[in-house]
Amino acid sequence: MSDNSGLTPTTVRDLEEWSTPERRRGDQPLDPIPNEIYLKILSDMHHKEDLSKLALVCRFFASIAIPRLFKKIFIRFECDQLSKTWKESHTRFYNVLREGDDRFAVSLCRYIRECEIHSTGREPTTIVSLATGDMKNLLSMRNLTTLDLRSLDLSPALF
Amino acid sequence: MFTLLSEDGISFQAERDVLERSVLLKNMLEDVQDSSNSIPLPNVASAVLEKVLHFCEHHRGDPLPVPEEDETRMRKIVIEDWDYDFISANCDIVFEIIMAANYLDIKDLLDLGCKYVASLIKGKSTEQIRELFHIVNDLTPEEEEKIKKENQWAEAV
Repeated sequence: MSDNSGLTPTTVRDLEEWSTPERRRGDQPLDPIPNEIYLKILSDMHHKEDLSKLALVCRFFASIAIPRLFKKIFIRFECDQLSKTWKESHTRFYNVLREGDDRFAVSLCRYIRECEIHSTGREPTTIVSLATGDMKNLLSMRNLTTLDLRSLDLSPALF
Repeated sequence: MFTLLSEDGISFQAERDVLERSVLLKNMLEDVQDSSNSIPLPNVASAVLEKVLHFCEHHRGDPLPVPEEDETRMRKIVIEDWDYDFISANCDIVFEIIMAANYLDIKDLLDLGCKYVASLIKGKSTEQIRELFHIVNDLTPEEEEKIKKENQWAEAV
């Protein structure tokens, strides 16, 4: 794929198609920095603001930063004090994933590796809606490796 | 005493316990007594080698850091004052120092350099990061647009 000499400037290449960054000071080419050194330096970067700026440096940096930006998502439930019922308190991203109509946002699912589901309330609770919709959504995150459940009572109905 | 020969042909003399900060040199010197033959380092310029040896001299006798399972991750290290002063005084050749430390396998210097560069990145703009690394942008305008869209979604994760 990388030997495709017909690449036009309008092509949007896959993130996997990175190459080691070219370095130059003015017109003078500089020695390339080995990839493992970039990885080591960037291993310490966790803040979204830093990662989103790094993602625009070059394709290699994008291939490191973008997956990290979407590595972990949260599914939240909150207790409504008045009605004593649980309501979903999801992020905009998770809501879009559930609806599934924004294909671009859904395509970002492949970067999700960790999902944390938690409730904010005094006691652990069974969340009925989790059994129905959310488990199906988790399956669509095909690279998910870690599921972190907090303050949840897992009813047998879930499994 | 041993003699090192830099890329640009300058000789440096150092004692064994200084050179043994470098795992590469430690292995090379294992079976060698004091030698009159100089050790050529074709990848390290004299300006860089001088700094590297300065660092190794300061840390001679310190316990060597143990290797980690995942060497692409940075060790949790606290930068000591001397080390911070050393690396920030040489910030214009920090990548040359990092690459020499990588080649010579001097873990504490490699970690120090990487940690320092990581601290420089924080809070910088994309263009400033590119300038720091002297990286040429190879993204097409369309790819930049796509990444900007991804960045917007990342805020809503």
